[in-house]
Amino acid sequence: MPLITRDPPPALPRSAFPEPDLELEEKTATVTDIPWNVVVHNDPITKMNYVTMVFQKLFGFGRERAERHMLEVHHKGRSIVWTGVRERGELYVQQLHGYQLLATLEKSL
Amino acid sequence: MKMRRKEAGSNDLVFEEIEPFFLDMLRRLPAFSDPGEDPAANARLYSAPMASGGDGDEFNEDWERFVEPEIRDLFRTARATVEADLAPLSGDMPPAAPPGTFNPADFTPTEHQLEIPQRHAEAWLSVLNQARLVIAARRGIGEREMSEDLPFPPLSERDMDLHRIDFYDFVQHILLREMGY
Repeated sequence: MPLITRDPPPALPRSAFPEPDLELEEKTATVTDIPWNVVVHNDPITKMNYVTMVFQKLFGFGRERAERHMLEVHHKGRSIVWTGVRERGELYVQQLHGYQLLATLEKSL
Repeated sequence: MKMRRKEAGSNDLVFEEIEPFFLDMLRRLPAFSDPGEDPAANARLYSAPMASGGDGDEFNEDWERFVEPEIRDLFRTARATVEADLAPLSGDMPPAAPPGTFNPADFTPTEHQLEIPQRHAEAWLSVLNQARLVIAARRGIGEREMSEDLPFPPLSERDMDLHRIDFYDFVQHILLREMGY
């Protein structure tokens, strides 16, 4: 059976396709791609074992990792405990505040 | 004061033979955990989630409006749980000796006992921590004071606050240990 072919359709003029809004697309891509850090800050009142417990419960850290972050908070004044999308970071900060920890959200550099 | 498991195999805790000095602190725990209108205590419990400037100001405003009320409710719920557990300790009791005096009776074990069910442990941890933070914020107690020896007998209400911070930490420590942390 012979192959039936057709002539290709005439090409549409370039003006038929709107120019993409590159600035909007770049901005959207930037907003969704920038990771955010959840940072826990030191305070001299909250006890270290309490902070360790919170890290284990909230982030599922093993004891060793939780203590490492806790000691970083204690010695360096702060520790980045999570990095990811902003909405999730906001939830973590809220939960950390629910445990009375000093926590902030910041753009990851 | 002694602590034991309520019964074999149970993780419910019982604090018994509580001395008046500590009984007073326990009974007043919910009140001490409430920041009321104190600006420093509120600033500590409800801190800003983002640095100010740029997007931070708008984010912090939204946070204060929409998220902070939820956190306040969370703390209030925990406080209500602790108040219910403390209810059996209410009743007539001679007040503890005022600061600056030492009354041996303040450290004589009583028959009062406090039961903390395991399912309430997180609420207790929260309220104990809230109280420590509120007291410290109100008094301006920081790292330096926390590293000093506790004055005994307490000579002032400030000294008493240091003892409260220390005692609430002790109870937190017990609860965390029993929870396996």
